[in-house]
Amino acid sequence: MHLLLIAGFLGTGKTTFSIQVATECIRQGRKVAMLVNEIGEIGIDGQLMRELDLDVWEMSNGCICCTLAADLVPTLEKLDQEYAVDLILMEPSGAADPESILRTLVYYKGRPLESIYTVTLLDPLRLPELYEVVTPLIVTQIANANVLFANKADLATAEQLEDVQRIATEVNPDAKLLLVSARQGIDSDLLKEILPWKD
Amino acid sequence: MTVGEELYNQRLQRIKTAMDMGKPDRIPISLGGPSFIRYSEPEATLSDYVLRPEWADDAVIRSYAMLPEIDTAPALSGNKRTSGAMWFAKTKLPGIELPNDALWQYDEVGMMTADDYDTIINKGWGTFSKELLTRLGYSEEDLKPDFEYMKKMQKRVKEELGLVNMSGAAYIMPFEILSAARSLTKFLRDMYRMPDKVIAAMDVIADEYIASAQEHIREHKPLSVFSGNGRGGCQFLSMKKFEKFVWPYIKKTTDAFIAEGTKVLFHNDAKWDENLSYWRDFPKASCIFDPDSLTDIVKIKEVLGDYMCVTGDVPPALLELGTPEENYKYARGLIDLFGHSGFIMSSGCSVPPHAPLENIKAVIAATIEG
Repeated sequence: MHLLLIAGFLGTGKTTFSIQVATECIRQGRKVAMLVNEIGEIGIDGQLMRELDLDVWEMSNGCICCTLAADLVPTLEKLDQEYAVDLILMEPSGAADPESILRTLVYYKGRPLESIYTVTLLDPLRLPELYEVVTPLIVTQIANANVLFANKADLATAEQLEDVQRIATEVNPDAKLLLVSARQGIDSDLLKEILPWKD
Repeated sequence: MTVGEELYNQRLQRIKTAMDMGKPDRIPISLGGPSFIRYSEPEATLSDYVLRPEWADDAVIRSYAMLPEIDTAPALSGNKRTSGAMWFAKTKLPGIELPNDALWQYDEVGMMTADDYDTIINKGWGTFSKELLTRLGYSEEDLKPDFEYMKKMQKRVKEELGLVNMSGAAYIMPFEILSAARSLTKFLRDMYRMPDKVIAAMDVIADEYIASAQEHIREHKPLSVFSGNGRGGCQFLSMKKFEKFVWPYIKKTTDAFIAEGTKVLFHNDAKWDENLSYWRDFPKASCIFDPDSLTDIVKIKEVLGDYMCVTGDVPPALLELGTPEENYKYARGLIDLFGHSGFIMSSGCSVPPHAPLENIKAVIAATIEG
């Protein structure tokens, strides 16, 4: 079982992105579960998820400190024991810091996770503004990423994309930055880059 | 004097001494949360907790009777259907919108508009917040506390169990409450694009908090008032924004609360490592710092340990998922770090819903050993 964490601030398009990743996995014949914790806020269409044959697990989004680990770890264990999924796509709240999510995994007692990979989505239309106001959160989200996606690239100006490049390089020069538009569809070759299987 | 009253006085003295940075007869213990319903009613679910409030309160009280080393009073059920109103959010409950044993959730819908800053400035926070709650679908009737029931339960908690309330009224700081009412995303945009309006509205809120707290403190003389913070710390905000939008209001309200002769209990969720030194601006032993386990407890000891009472901070994840040995070890570590003066043994935030009783007992055992 692999874990793919999809981080990014509120409203960066994480769910649209996650659905495309999940669809690609299903197309490859893999079993996927999605863990989301903003179902109320962004209005995911549960029926749509079921039509896509995705197992959607809603996590509590109450107090960020108290509930996250308590919800995440038993859910992972249940997925491991009862559903034998190949990949868990986890979409934490946009206000969560990926580091603290990963820290809770020390309590996980199921089969060892084969890989943990973090993708962070950035919104070029708002990033400079957010970088100035919620600097620490954005820095942590970028710094913890294996790969960065500048989503909504189709709507951004050249200047906005340059800002994203500058901030990404400043914080995490090692992470690859890919420009995408989840709304318009993401090329499956790009999605394969973040999947644990290379077939 | 009943046994409960005698215990109450003993515990009150213990807690007051710790809050004053003194050395009590033993370290006070403050543990509580939704898991307590299960210690006396193992089959209970969270839907019982929220949908059968009187039954749940009785079960929680019976659980406290099983753990007589705990010094502080539980937060009783209240009306969970409307509990999201505190955050201007909609409430989703287990057994109704959520599975039977899921934790209740607050759905931050951001019903406040950009124009509403003017409403706050012109009409006041009290008037506006009532209007906003109506927009969210909460009726005045739903929100009216059942004072008679509350009084009865408080009397039971005090006289039967001798448990002490550490704090009185709760004030969610202006930054936090506006970010919830407006929704975090929109509020951050407002801070960037219309900072003056945001500040003017926060000034109004802070002044109203002070007026309301003065009345409350004079009438009830609580050990402390509760100052709620979470998003204003260094996990989210740059220091520049903290100094502009968060700290001035914490400082202003706290100074006013202290001037009324009470202490201020800071329940600070998330990380505050870089902000801690600001708390040294208050008079020594006038505050209690109550972190949720995300702020580095060693740093808290280093910066504030000689200056104010600290509650700490057994992590909720450890309480729920760790072993009794791990919980015992963590609690021992806290005692080694803080010693016996100015420290209250507590969970970081509340004890989560499925924390086993053995873990609670392990934390208590470590504390009683001293």
